[in-house]
Amino acid sequence: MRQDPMLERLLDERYSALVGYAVVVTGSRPDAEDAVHDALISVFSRRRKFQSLQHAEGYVKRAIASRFIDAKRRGASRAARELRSYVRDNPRAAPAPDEQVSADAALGAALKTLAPKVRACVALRYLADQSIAETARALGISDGAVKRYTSDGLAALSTQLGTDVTAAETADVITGGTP
Amino acid sequence: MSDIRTMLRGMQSDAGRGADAPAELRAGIQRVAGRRRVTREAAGGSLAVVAAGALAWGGVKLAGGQDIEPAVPTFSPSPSASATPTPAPAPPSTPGPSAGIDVNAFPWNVYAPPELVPATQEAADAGLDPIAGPTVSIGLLEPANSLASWEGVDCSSLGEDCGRTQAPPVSREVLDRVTPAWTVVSDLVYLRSVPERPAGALYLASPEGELFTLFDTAALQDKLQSPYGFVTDVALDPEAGTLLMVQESETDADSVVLVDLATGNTTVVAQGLNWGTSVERDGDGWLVWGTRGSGPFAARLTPDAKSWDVSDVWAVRGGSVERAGGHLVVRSGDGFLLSPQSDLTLANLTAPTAQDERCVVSRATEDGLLTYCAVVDEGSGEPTFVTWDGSRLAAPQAPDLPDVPLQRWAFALGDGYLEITRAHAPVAAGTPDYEWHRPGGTQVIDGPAASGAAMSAVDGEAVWIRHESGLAVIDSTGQWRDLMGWSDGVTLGYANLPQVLDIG
Repeated sequence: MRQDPMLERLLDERYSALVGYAVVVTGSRPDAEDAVHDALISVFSRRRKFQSLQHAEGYVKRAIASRFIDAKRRGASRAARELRSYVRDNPRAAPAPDEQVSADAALGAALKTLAPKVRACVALRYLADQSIAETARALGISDGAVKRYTSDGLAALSTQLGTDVTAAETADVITGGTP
Repeated sequence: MSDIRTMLRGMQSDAGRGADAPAELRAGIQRVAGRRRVTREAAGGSLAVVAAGALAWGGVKLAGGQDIEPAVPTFSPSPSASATPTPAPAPPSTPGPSAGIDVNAFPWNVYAPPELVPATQEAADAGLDPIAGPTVSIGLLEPANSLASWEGVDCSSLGEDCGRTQAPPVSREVLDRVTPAWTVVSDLVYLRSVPERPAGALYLASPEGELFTLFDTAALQDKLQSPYGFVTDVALDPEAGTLLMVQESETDADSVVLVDLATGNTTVVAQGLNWGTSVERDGDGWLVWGTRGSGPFAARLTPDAKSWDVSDVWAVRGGSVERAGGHLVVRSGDGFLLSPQSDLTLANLTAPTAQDERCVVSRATEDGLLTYCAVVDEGSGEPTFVTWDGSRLAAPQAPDLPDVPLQRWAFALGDGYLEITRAHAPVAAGTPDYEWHRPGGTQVIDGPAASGAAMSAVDGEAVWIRHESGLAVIDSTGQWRDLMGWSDGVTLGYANLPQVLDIG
């Protein structure tokens, strides 16, 4: 079978980052690994032409979030089960050491309090740097829902963490008013 | 104060540490992905076109088969306008009042009970922060100008997100032909790839498959200081040759902008922190509605967009507003309010619904609201008909397809809602892509598979851009209507976020 070089590069160079991203989205390492594998299959079964690693990674990150939401709706996906059948006898990568997990325990616990779709919106917007429209497209919701979910998410995280969690914006906003 | 990006990146780094894909796992992923690719290719030519990602610069093939000419560097003026093509006016000399907004101070998460605000100027202020009359003129927008600016861009560094569809500019003669069957389509190039060079355009599409460039949105984004801006809605007045549009920035600021297609002059009508502003034709004037953090609003603009008809303005603190069944439906955490379009006066407060329900309101009638919660609310909700007296009745049930990885959308369509099943992976034989759930029952709509299509909800109806074939509409009678087809290997430019913004 012909190997897809971009898929190979992603596995070589960005696999750990994708798993880390997926942990933020799903809340657990095993679910994250399943989500990454599932997304990779989805993206690369379509033979898209990616011109850069970053471009491909963006697609996979969107797929991770969207498939996570789908899985929440529908239960475990067929692709994940198929992949497990291929790798069931192979050991998984070692889990992250406890001390590394504990450093983010508070944030992880706070993220787990968020609804899956809210968590996915926060991850796509602020970790995957996806636009509002891209996030909406990935999750199958409206732009307005993305804004609401992300703002809800930031507010909830602020409450959970006891600090004002913000998202730095870079553009000026011009407001109106009667001259 | 903590920055969410920094926090999440730290967590990502720690959580991913030690993760490695062993050789067996790599082989498994490659093998499954490869097998699926073969399956998709065997399924038919249209899927193969998508899989090949054949995005190439070129003309657009019309429904009749002829190729249109690329855009020329002129903008056709109206007969009533200056005969000199494409005059370049001076840059704006009188910018509107501006001030920074402290986004963090915005009451993002306050869900107060609905509170009607009297229809006064205060209501207008609460809803829109309107700018009274034209304040910013950003000058002529020439499609050819920004098109030329792309000539020096190294597309190879941008992947498939480079370039733009070429189409001749719209003219007075074209506008005179516009009927309700025409559409406005946007072509948004992936802005994040080149934030200093945003690219996008609005096109007018005829039922015969012709495509005309209305104007380029890149200059507007630049002038509005609105990086990553998206044109999210438009309303066209072909007779007057004007277009009202909403541009949304990454900072949640919606700009309502009037464009004079004859002169290219562009006027910012309002700006503010909004969640999904919409614009529509309303008689000779315009209707502007949407949702701010403080709540939904609606207001009428005079035909020249120079002033608000404040007698018809309303705003509600909390909640949201959406278009359903020909009505504007205002929804809050505690209940529903109905506001017919012909009369912006709010009325008919419904019985309270659960505060955590996030439902798609699909249909509003004199009897009540058909709501569909299964898409938005994690699948836990049920389609329900809520009557105005608070009774809840069973509504058409969407079929459940267990164990199939899908994305689903629901759009209001006609007197019901259209459910779209978009497959990430091969689905079971016989799985319909489009089901129209109506009060009288469910109807399967035959048509091309949803995979690969870009969907837009336009004025309460479902419109589709099919990357592999062209532009199509599922109209209010449940029928597919093809508008145009791409020539081989060509899509609507290189956009990865194409949208249909307006019909008629």
